[in-house]
Amino acid sequence: MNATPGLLSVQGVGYRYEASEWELAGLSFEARAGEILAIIGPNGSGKSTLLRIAAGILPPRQGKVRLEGRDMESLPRREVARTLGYLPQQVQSAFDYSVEEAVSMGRFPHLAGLGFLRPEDARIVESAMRRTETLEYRARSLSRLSGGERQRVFLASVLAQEPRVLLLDEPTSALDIHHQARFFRLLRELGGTGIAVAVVTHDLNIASLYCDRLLLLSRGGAVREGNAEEVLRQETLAEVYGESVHVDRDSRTGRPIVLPGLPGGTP
Amino acid sequence: MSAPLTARRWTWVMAIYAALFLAAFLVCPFVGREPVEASAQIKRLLAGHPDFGSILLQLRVPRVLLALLAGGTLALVGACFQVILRNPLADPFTLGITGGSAVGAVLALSVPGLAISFGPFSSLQLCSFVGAAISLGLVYVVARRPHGMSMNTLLLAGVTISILSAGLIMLIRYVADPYNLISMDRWLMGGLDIVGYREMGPVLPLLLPGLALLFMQAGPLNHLSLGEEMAAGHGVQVAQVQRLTFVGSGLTIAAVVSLAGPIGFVGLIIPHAVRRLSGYDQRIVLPASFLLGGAFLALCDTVGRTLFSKQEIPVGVITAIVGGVLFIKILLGRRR
Ligand SMILES: Nc1ncnc2c1ncn2[C@@H]1O[C@H](COP(=O)(O)OP(=O)(O)OP(=O)(O)O)[C@@H](O)[C@H]1O
Ligand SMILES: [Mg+2]
Repeated sequence: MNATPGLLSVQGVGYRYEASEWELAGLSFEARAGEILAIIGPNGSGKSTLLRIAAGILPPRQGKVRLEGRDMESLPRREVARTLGYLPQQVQSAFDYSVEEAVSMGRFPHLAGLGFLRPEDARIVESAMRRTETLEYRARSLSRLSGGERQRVFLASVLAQEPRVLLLDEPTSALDIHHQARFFRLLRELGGTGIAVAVVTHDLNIASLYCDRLLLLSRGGAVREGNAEEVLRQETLAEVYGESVHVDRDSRTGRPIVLPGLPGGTP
Repeated sequence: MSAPLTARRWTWVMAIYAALFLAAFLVCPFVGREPVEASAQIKRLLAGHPDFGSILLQLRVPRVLLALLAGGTLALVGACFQVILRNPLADPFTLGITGGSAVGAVLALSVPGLAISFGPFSSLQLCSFVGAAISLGLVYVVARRPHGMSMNTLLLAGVTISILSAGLIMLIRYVADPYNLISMDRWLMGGLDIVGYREMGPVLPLLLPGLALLFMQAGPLNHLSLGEEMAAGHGVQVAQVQRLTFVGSGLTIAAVVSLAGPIGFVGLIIPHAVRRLSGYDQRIVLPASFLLGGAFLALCDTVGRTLFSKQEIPVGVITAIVGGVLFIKILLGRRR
């Protein structure tokens, strides 16, 4: 699988926010077809910044982003959105659209003119709602949903773009264990159809169980990249997170499982 | 309203709002202190009467046309600003355009040396337009970022410019000849009392392309209400949409205010009313706001012209009072 060329390739990108000391320094990663990459790291380590750059929303100060071999900065936004779906960490709607209206907005890059849905678009929208289990609220307005339900709606709008590369910033931060697992299974399913996925998450166990590779960030730099075995090591995590952790094994898969330190402090 | 917009529904909804707009255009010119009966007018026309339509065609029709265009523009720009600034209280004057425009107008009215005119433009119109352009430029320079514009700064800069302009206007009024104060007050109330088409014609080349530019942003603006990041993710060229909306609004509002003064409340309440009636899809909200705003202002002006037999009331006074009452009704209705 490693031989597949990256659908999305981020090459040595750097970034600095205006009037800020913090710096993202020379980061690289590849999102490969059929693979799920988890981007992990402490708060403020630069995960969202990296994802924004990868999605072409923030132009990097150094380095390059290539989407299917083409320079991201030379591509029109609409064309990018036909290939790449990006879910920001937070989405807040200023207006109270219905669920179905919000999800169908994902079809925007595929539509011309005033952007009315064609029958096939309506089918795609419906399937995106079914896969995120939001179909039952289709007629409800966004303000009448719970936080997690709303998160699934915006996820559905990104899926409705039918992207080949999915960049998701903490898509399951508000989801219960069923929807979280279901969502990552959906990502695996999508992976099976040749989609490349990069997902930011704070759930190290989900990353271990469901993702093929992990990229661990700290203070704007990459600490380690590899499979769960290579990245989720007790000393590495303790150092990066500044918190003693206990790495165990999942008895079913043998994959590493990360538990926080004990209430009284670890002996 | 919960299902995604279809071409069919769009057409229906637009037809209804367009009918209101058209009705205002057809009815309002016939209402006024001087009776202008439609049947009598047609008789005169058929008889080739020389007096035909002098009131109707030279006074009422251009005035109603201006009301339709001005009200429509104010409501449309209000709707656009409420989206790009993500603030339901935004109105066309939020960005300080009117403030600058008012400073220009007040200057023109108080400094006799400014009584220059250029082509078809009066010095009043010209100065208010230049004032608007200066304030827009200032706001733009402040809010400009390497990639696009900061909407928060835009809002703050706009409010600051408005306050600054208010200060300048007070200063000018303080030193001005008291005789001129009346005409200043009159301008600041906003009114549609133009005569003929001469004044309207020259602003159309600014107004019409500006309006077209704004209507074209309707689709992308839906996505901007989900935030800049989600919009960009869906494939919207965020910075460009913001810039075009800013330019389109600037052109159209400067044009309208230079003719009609700062008419308040239309830009705030009409988009709210449209969203209540027809949902949040901007592809409906924008054009419907234009049509309803035009009809609303034409109606308000007709009331202003006819309410008292002795004197006209400036339309800005009517919109502020009627608009305020309606707005409170909308807010009360929302509690249900
Ligand atoms: N718009 C901004 N302007 C200035 N600094 C910013 C901006 N956005 C983020 N930062 C800073 O950049 C750093 C990285 O932020 P980023 O959002 O990428 O972190 P993150 O890894 O996604 O964190 P989290 O897990 O909390 O989402 C932080 O120190 C943050 O304070
Ligand atoms: Mg983040």
